Amino acid sequence: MEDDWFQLVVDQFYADLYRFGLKLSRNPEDASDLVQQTFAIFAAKGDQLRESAKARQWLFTTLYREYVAKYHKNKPLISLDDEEIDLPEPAVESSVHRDVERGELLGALDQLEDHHRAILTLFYLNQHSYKEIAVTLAVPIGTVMSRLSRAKEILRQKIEELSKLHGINIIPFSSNEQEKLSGDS
Amino acid sequence: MSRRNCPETPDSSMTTQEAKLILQAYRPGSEDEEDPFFADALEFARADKELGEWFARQCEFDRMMGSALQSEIPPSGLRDAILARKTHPLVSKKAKPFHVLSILLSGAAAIVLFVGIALFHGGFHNGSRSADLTVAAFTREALDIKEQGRVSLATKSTDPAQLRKWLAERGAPNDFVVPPGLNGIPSLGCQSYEMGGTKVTLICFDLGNNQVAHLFVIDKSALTDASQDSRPELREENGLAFATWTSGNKSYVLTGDNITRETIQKLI
Repeated sequence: MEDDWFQLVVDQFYADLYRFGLKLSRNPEDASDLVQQTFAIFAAKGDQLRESAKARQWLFTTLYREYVAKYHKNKPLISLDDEEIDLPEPAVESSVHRDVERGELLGALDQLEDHHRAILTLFYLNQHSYKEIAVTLAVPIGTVMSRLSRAKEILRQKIEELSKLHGINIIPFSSNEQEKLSGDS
Repeated sequence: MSRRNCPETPDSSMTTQEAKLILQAYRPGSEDEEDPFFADALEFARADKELGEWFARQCEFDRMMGSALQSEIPPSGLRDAILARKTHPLVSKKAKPFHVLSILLSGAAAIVLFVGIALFHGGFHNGSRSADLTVAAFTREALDIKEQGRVSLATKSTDPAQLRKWLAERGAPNDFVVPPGLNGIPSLGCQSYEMGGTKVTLICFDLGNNQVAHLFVIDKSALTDASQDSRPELREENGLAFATWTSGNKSYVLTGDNITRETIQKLI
């Protein structure tokens, strides 16, 4: 593989791959290992991937497979109760946690089960369509939709729990506040 | 599940809950805007005030989470480590973390260290920390590190002087003597870590053909039962080749990935 192409791909995706690996493993060293291993495989086998989008899809899929192979050899990654067929009830949240710090948000994310962390991280990295998420996680699109909904619901519950625990203000989010909130960082 | 009462939207069969299920996967400003999959639900949200407000909250929540996730910054050396690995191919053909170039990468080399030193020094004793570190304590520490499963190649360089400087700065053995067969062979890098409170140096050499030599160096004085024999002992255990010897005030173990007994013999 040409060095220039390899470096271009690394520069484009290594940070988000690290974030994905970090949310999966919840360990910075493991995340670094996963990213390096993924690029090692890419260097060896990725010659045919000459488009950035294809390389991105391949890299995230490979990292996820590496994670599953390394950390879930003896147990399934997916909870059986997650594979619902019927449409779940989308989360009904009544507030947005404007004052919740980033650490609290990420801490709540870390508390979710593996398959919920995986899908939410891919979603929030904002690079992957629902179709790409389905390919990366090797699940049907319907499962992506239902799992995403459930994961978000649980995430909100966790954030509320952490917010109460740490005494962080939860600001009710109404339509009147939308404009104001959209200016927040 | 109730049906919505908003007949002007394109898909009148869509319920509010169905629309929410679709919209919660939507990312504003992305290619989703052009995806027909979302079109009806978006139109529904534009026409239905309550759903529109729900959607706005949803987008705000997603934006906050995305922003939080982007605040996770990769380690400063990760990019360089990835690029360096492109230059220096995989140490082992096994699918292991790429930067873990130590004996602990495959586990095999750690076993070699364990077995090698034990054989070299002839037996196990009860030892503990630096002042009375014995072979047994040394090997226990090695096993601990093996259990931890991660010793990185902390610095990478083909320049021996640079490696020695890096090791010296960390108080690790740096005045070692490389065996004759490794002279002139480019190093990949080195690492230092503690065993029983004593610093140990690991240097890796690229032999080509996916072969990497691992040279461990410890101060002989750290071992209360260190051998005085300067002649290398060559052994092969469980298909793994290694050599051990003492020279000056240092004790050495040489092993590697994909290295035969014959190769070890040539190196020492």
